Amino acid sequence: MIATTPLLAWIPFIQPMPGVQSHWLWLLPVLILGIAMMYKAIRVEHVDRWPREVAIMVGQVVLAFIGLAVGLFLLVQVIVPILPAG
Amino acid sequence: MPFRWPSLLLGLVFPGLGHWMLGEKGRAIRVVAGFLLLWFGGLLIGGPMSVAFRSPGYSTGTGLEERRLWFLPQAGAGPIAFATAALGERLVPMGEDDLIEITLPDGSVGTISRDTPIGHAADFGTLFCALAGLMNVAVAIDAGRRPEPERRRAGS
Repeated sequence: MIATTPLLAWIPFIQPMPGVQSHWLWLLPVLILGIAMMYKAIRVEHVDRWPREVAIMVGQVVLAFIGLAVGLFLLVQVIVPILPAG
Repeated sequence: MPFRWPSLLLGLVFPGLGHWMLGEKGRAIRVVAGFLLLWFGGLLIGGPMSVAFRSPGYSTGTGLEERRLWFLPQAGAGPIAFATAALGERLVPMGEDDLIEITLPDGSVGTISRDTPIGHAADFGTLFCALAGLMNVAVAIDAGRRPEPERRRAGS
């Protein structure tokens, strides 16, 4: 029901965001960005370096996610099927 | 260096306030920026029910309302979390036209708001706000452990 709510009829902060069920993966970079912004705000020695550090951390975590996804894809789709059954 | 409990408490009262009071205004602003992205991002994704004191009966398996464990990390955001949860209960439209019928765990028919988040919208809305609260606890602890700016400059 929620996912079919037309975007134009959506009332932000009252109704759940439409389309999340099928496009939830795009929320991960936003989530990582928010965490990185708070984490790097207290970790960087000089706050001038904060934007760069945040960008690096977001990139690293997103790449780690992609690496895990590729690794699991290969494991499930390639390696497991060629294992001897029984 | 003794732990600064006032800074920790201020950080729990409002994100970044502990750092602000230590004179670390640049850090405080950046903390608030990250917090706002996570907190309001969660509310935007999942709606006001992303932050709630109790889980509704239809979702607990017992048919009874239960304390929502996800509120514990969200409570790390301090009064903002409690205010959001209290306000959220009033914001969800519960008029006659806003309700839809559902089957409850015991097989009976119940009603919920048409705007109840489900699936990934509920998951991510809750998760965003929970991580905002958890990160704020880490930030507040950092404020308690952080040396005064003058002392750090002298030591560097």
